[in-house]
Amino acid sequence: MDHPPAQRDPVEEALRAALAADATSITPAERLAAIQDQVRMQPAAPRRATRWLSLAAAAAVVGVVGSVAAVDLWRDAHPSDPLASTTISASTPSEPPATPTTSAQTLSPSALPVYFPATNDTDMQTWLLTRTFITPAAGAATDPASRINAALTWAMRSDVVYPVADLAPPWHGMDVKQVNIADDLITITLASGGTANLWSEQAERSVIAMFVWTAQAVLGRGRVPVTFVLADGGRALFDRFPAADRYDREASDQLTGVVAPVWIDLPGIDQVLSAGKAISVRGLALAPSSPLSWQLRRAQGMTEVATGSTTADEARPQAAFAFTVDALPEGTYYLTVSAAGRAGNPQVPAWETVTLFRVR
Amino acid sequence: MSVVARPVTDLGSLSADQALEALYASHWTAMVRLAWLFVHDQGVAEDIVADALVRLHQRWGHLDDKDMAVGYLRRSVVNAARSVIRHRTVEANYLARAGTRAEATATAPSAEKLALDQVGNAAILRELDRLPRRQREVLVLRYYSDLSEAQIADTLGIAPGSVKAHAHRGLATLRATLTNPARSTGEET
Repeated sequence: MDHPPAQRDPVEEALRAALAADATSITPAERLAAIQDQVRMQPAAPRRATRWLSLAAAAAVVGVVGSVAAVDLWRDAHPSDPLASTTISASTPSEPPATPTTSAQTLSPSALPVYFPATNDTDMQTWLLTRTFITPAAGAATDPASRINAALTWAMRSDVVYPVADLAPPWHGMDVKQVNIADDLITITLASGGTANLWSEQAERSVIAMFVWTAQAVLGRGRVPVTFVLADGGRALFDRFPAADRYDREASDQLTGVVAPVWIDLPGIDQVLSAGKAISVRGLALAPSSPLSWQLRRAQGMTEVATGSTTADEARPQAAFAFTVDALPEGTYYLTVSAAGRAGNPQVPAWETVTLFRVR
Repeated sequence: MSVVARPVTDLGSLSADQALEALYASHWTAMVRLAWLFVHDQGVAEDIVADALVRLHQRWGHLDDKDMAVGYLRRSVVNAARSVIRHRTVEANYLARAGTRAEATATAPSAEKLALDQVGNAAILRELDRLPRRQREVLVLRYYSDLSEAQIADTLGIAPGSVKAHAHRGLATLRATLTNPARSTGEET
């Protein structure tokens, strides 16, 4: 960047001098010992995620995948494939059992499934797919390409699914520009292939899974493979995965280490429910599942409203669970559903998924 | 004057603790000053870099290429500084809506002071702050950190061509306003 003095632009030189003077106006304090103390104080075990991080996990409940399968896997359709429809009631593993309650909230028929990466780890190394359902804005385009675009755009809303203050999300720079659908292929045009080495390779695979799982689920035609075009002329995602390859979601017997142990399907993130009615909670837990615990907190003051436990059924690979919360007064609430980790299996870590909903 | 951190060689052979000490020794001051240029709060700037070092230590065993650690550290610092600025903006907007004038707006310089300062560092930095965020980041990384276009692109997660474009536009705006202060509108971009 340096130039011979004679060629230097006066504005550049003035700017350089101003920045140097400003920067050297401070002398950083000696903090090595404090930083080393901070390092030693960091918990070694996965933390119980902070509220926003868990919310990110909940919103993304389906988003992260440990590995993105090559196209040959897409032929491995499974009867429990949750991708046959855009509604949670359309496929066996995604359909929670009927609840014997009076709760009446449901998802709109136009609801969009959104899958995105989430993490509960302190060091944010393990990213697992989570899922939520969103309701498109009134008047939103209803063609499949627009719906896929809307779902993915929502998934990458940093303020909702990744409100982590100090790091760019794994999908940074990968805005969806266009979606094209053919009989046998979904083509997603991204602004770029993302930033290489910003996160782990596993996180990068999870991001690709976000695109694949969401696009396939919204389209609702099963495991139509997904490929990518990069608007900036790039040829690889994260400088690692060929954009032109065809990608598919993982087979249903390969979900461990791919999907989060707990998904909350109802209520959806930011869903608005009617006051005076019991709240039906439905979700899926990676089977075999240990008993699940849940906690409901009111956003104002984060006061605990109710707690409980539930169990999932025995279905595999993901088992449904459901419970009911009594009618709530108007307000904003956080619901956390937690699962214990599977002993000896780091791919099934202790996990908590949080969703936020409003009662009006 | 340029501030270039001393290189850290062969990071790949170091343990997490050793890498932390090496990176601190070679980059602490420069990184804190870089953060300062964005947030203008020394305590916050130090916290940003300290947290980035702690995170890097935690992830050390997972880094594919440890020689990329400095780039990771720089990205982390810039992103954190950006987050601080965003948070301040939200707070300022909230206060403005609540009828409370935020300090940032209450201390906007007068036209007379702008004219008096137009040839000084303060005026340059003020005009720099008025640039769009991306242009400002590119110029700071280029003219303070002396990064190449490729390094800036890596730090900000944008294409090298975008770096050139942002630098060009930012400098053009500075040139126009600094050489003709009357063109400074005072608008936030």
